[in-house]
Amino acid sequence: MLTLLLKRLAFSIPLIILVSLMTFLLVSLSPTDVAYTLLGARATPEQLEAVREQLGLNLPLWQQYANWLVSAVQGDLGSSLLNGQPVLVAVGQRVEPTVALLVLTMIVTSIIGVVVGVAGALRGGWVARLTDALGLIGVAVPGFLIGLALIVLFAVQLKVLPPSGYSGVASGSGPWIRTLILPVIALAAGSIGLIAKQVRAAMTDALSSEYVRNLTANGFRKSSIIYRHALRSAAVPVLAMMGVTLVGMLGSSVFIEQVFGIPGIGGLAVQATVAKDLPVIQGVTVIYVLIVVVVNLLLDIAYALANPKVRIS
Amino acid sequence: MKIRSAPILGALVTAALVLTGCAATGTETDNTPTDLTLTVSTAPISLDPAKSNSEVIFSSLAYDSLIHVSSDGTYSPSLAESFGYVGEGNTTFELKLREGLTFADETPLDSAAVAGYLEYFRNANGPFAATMGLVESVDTPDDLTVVLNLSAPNPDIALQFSEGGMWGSVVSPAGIADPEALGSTTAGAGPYQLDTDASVAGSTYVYTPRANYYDEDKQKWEKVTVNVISDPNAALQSVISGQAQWVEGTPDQVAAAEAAGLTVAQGVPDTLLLFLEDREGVLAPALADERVRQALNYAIDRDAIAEVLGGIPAQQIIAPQRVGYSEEANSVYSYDPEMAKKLLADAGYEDGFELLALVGAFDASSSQALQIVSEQFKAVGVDVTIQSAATFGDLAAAQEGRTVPSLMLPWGATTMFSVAQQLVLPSGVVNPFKSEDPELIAKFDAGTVASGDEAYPAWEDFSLAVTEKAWFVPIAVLYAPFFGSGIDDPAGDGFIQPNPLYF
Repeated sequence: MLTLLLKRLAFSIPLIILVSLMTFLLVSLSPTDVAYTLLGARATPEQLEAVREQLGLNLPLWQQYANWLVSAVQGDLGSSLLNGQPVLVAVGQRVEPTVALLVLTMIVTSIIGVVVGVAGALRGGWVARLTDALGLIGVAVPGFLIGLALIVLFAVQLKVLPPSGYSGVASGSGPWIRTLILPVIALAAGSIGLIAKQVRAAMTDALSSEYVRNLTANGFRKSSIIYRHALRSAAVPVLAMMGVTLVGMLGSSVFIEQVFGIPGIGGLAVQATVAKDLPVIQGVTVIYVLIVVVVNLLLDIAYALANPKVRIS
Repeated sequence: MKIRSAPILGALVTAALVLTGCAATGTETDNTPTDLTLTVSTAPISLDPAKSNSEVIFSSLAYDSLIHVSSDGTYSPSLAESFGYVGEGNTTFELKLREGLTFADETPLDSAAVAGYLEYFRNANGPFAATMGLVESVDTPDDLTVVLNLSAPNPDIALQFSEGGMWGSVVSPAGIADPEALGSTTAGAGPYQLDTDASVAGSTYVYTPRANYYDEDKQKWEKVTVNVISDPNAALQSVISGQAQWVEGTPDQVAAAEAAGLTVAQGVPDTLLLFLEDREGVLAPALADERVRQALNYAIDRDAIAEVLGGIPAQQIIAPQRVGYSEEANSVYSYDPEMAKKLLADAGYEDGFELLALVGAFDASSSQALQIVSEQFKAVGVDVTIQSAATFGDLAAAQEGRTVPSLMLPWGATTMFSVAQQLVLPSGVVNPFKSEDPELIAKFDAGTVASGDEAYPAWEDFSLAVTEKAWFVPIAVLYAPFFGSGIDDPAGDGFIQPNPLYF
């Protein structure tokens, strides 16, 4: 198990380098010129050239990337080309809201998805059809539209929750949870149906398998069969699905952060990409890769706990 | 097999309790009337005034300005007690600071600090660094007096020292010593200072009052928060819900804002122009002929387009209420397709011609206007091909590369002097083909040396000449609305943008 985790961690280093290189090349293909962003419509060609020179934008691409990589390995991700703020500071200010949003959404998605999925598998009939229908609606309606509807209903009409913003954990659990309720619902809406459908299918398979019939024939209690045996067996494909779901959530969270004015990494990624602020884009990319790597590691551990075959292999 | 409903019911009850509890908490923690929360759509590129794109909301709070310019273009004292040109010809400008002013770091704001800041501004290579080009020298005869000596006449120096420029947002000597930090911190002499611990650059900016500011009337809030919400609907809801007191809206939101009981204020004007840039006929030979350019001005129905866009029809490059706005220029062209066809035939283009026009895909009003204009041009035989620029940088790159003969773009004109410098002079940044007209330059020169009441007819004459020579096809004047709740003036007595110190 430990070897497996160490291998995964070792694999993440070339992964980060590869992804950062691809990001660098993709962003470099964009015709956007950060000098224009900085100086605006009234800049003269001489001013534009001076800014490009000052920011090192005239260097060959390979040299720009090599400079960034050498600094990054030493723990310096550079500074924003726009406001000069160190990338580590800019990203550090925004990690908490994004991680809080993602973690809470995963928890909500998992709990509701599993409960609804199990209910669908056990009850069948209209419960199962309702599960499928809700899942489809959740996937079909974009999260930001759900977010806007939630703002109108809960913030404008009922006035029970704030429409936007984020209160840090340090401000207390009450304000913190209040600012996250609507974004979490908006972000979770698209994933709950998928998880529920996966759980229902996996549970249906498990409940119709031979070992469940044997357990039933041997007089095991139904609750024990369902929750200790069938659900554990069904958890294996569901965990794999959760990993994929989280990666999808990272993308969706960018829009949700914009709609709810959450000072997270997503907003930073959008601003930096629009302005072609390469050091910030690279910093955000590294953080996203790290989040994916850490979550996949946690899922690997959970996967191994649920499935003995993984531990043995 | 039955599901036990108790856990689900319990979860629902818990959720209801959380929501109810939240409602109670919400009432308790609502902003007091002494706090001000603003919602803006984009974050400033930099908080450094020397590198800022005139983001007045941010610069006013932390830096104030030496001179205040009102929404009607009149100037009044702010950090400077008095100001004005010395002698004739608009080449020497003097301002006198108030006594006892300090920066937020308690160091004095004196003439030496102003001169030091102007030197920093000139060398910081920001968007407006070129405005310092005419300043030959800065004298400081005493601690409170600053004298600018210009190499050529410039009637806009007061504007540069106001919220309309950035020369008056003086950075403290300590701030200038650490320019890297100025992008995300503040070091000014304004009534507030940025609370960097509570702020997240690009998303949330929290300002708190600082000690020893000279004017308590401009320091009436205990905290000012500026939140960046890019989605316009979510931004509007932030004010309707009571979370914020001010937001910059869009014309299509006015009805919803009024229905919600918000105060709606008309913002500063932008004139939407089709720049007929290729007046030398390099890419589109037809545009070199004045009759062709005039034909294009006769070919469009401005009243109809302005109604669609929610603005007012325009025939000149400067907006109403600005010095240089000419009533006469506003009636040069009528909607007359027959006249347009005749002028095209006179110029040898009776079969029309093809025209490439660039527009920013991110600018909905311009894109919509260009679609309508291209249909109306087609009716007189001019076939327009629309090219979209994905970002503002792409649009600017097309200017630098001289790849398009025409461009649809709104232009926020502050004064005729500045708009002429940018759009009409051969050195203008939006005159990529370096068009030059001796008559226009002569009229521009006359405007630059005119002072007081003489300035009005001089610049009106210039505006009329630009319209008659048809360098542009002005379409409409558009006003971005501002929505407020619980504040007196959502327009903030702003000339180019609202100033929250005057809300």
